[in-house]
Amino acid sequence: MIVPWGETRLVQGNEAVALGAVASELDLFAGYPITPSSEVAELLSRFLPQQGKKWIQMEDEIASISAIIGGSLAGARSMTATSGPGFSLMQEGLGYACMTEVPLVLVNVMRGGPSTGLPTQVAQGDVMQARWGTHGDHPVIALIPADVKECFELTIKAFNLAEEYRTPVILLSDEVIGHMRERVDFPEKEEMDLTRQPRPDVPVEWYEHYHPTATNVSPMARFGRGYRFHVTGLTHDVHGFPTRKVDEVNAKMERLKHKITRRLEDLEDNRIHGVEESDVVIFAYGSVYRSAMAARQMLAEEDGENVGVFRPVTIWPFPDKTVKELLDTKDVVLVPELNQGQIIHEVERLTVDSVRVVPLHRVDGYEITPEEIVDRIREVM
Amino acid sequence: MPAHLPYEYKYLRHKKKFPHVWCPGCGIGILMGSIIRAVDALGWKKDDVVMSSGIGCTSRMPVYVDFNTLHTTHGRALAFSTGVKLANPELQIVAVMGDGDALAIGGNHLIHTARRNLDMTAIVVNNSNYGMTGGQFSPTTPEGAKTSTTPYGMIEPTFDACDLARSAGASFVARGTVYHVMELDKFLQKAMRKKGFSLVEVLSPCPTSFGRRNKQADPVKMMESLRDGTVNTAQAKKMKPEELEGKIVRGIFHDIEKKEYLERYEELCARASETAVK
Amino acid sequence: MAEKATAKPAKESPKESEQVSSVHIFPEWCKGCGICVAFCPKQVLEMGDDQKAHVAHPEKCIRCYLCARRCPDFAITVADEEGNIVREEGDHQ
Repeated sequence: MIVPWGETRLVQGNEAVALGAVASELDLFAGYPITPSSEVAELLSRFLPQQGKKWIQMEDEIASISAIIGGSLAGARSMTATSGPGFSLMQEGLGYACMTEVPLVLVNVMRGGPSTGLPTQVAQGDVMQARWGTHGDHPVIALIPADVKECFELTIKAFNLAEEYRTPVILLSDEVIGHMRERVDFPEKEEMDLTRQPRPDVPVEWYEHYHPTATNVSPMARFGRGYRFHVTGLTHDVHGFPTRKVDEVNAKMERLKHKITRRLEDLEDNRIHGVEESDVVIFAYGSVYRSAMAARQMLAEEDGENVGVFRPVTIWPFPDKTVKELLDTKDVVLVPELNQGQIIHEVERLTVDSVRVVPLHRVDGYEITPEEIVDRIREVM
Repeated sequence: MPAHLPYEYKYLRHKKKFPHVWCPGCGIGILMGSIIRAVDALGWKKDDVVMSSGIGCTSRMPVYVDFNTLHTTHGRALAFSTGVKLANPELQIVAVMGDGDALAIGGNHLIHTARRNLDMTAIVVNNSNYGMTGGQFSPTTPEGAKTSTTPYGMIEPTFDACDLARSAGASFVARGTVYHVMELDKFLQKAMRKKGFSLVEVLSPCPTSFGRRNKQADPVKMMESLRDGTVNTAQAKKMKPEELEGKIVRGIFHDIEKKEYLERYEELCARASETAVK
Repeated sequence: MAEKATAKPAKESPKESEQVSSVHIFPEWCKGCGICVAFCPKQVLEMGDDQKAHVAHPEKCIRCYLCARRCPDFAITVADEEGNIVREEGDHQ
């Protein structure tokens, strides 16, 4: 038994990702070593062969993303794990998966960048890249865990969303979350809910690989099961054959966009603490959320101040509506990030001018501490 | 619609796609027929065949054939195919790539897929340039040849893709041409039947991009060059080095029995299960 | 393993030379590359003024299949004596 169902364990963040993948019935892992994600690959190299499932270390990250796309098309639930430099290499493949609507999970354990950066240290510098790293207009779903248990849960959620939306899903962990160890109370196996995408049931001649539907998601056949479909990264029609006809190109582009934006509320997943009651809010995500919550407590205890915390768990698509609704009436929104300001621009975009959006940046490879957040809040109040 | 359909027709997809996109005299269509005849001769079911490709003229092939088809990114056909094969080992994979796709940007994947000896057939169509993008030079452009990016003549040496595949670990390596089509049929059958990584290099004319810049715009002339400029292994054995100079050798260069990747992987799983903590 | 497909007669009335020919060329797919004409061992084919290949000497055809195999455009079929389009017996192992 690989996943300790119903039991309590001290688990590493990356280990929790690997266990979450096994819990999601992962069939294929293809990856390439890179700090600080390598533990995901290493642990799966032990787990998957035990189950008779496939694990392979490819020759580079480009081969890794390519292999998991191929695997997914042939029926495997697939995943890879990497960090900044590898994530950059995977962008073309990621775009291909978005265009061809192939479900997969891509784990990026963020580290200091740009370039080789700080391989063993934390950052959140890839958040915008996760949204726009690959060329052209494309949909993206990205989730950000803030503790080890979420590494387990959100990996499972990532697989479910990938199947439901027929798209790649990015899990944006970071070096601190990936390498920390925390207690995890694992659920019972029966409590698990795994989404399995419906398979097409139409006669072979009627099958359209990108059949228009109300949700813009259509059942995807797999290679070898009788539907001999064509997959290409060229812009294509409902059958998957390349097209340059204006109406068909527009239909495809609209389909890609609207399958994500059609019901944003379904994808939103936020943690909201005391936001409605406060005038000052900390907008934080990932490991910084932990410092934000500690700061909130410190400010309550030491200053008697109620400072709210807003945390998006699903970072892409960005929770536009909720952010605007809840934060438009605030005096101050502090956005602490382990980068030089990426998500802050989303908050600025959505809030009226009267809301003071205040940055707090750290790019030296260390966490923003609760004290730093408290000090900055005190400054602006 | 032809009143008399060519035999291979039952493997072609959607009549409306023809005439196909390749130029008059391009050899890729010839290769496509050869692949189809090999699939038929081997008795493979269409549902079990995956044709994958990268980007380029050769890589346009999958859309025309009634198999499971996968047109990937430039140079990555073998990496995608690795995932396909691991996910469903029952699938028979034929990856078609051009010389630039397979040997330049895709070179690394060629080396490692061959090294693993993963069961699939890689066909590298060698027309000595990047045709689709307008005729830039490739790793197989002969020294001195003119291309759109070697207006003063190619200065880089080439290398032998068959040598590379063999030393990387392929269990079957052959070279043919689209002129020698009967021979090519046999090579492809053997390559595809082989359990392990097979590589077949196929020399093919590109009259429009390469030929035109090198005083060989005529498809017939280019085919004659393939006829006169190549020899088979039996002929090569009898020739003196001076006679062989400038000639390209066709033939099956390498055909060995070697453990295939998935066989090794199965053994690994057996070992892993034994040591697993239950 | 031989497979046979019965050839249907062309709907339009072909030239007399084509009616008895084993070789059929489909002009809509022919791109006029000239390969079939140049390499037919018996000079059965000719390039027409329309830049398409034509069957000029059907009686000389020995059904070697090279034209059909070397046609890049699937524009040529070769039938047997009964007019069936077959793959050669023993051509493949």
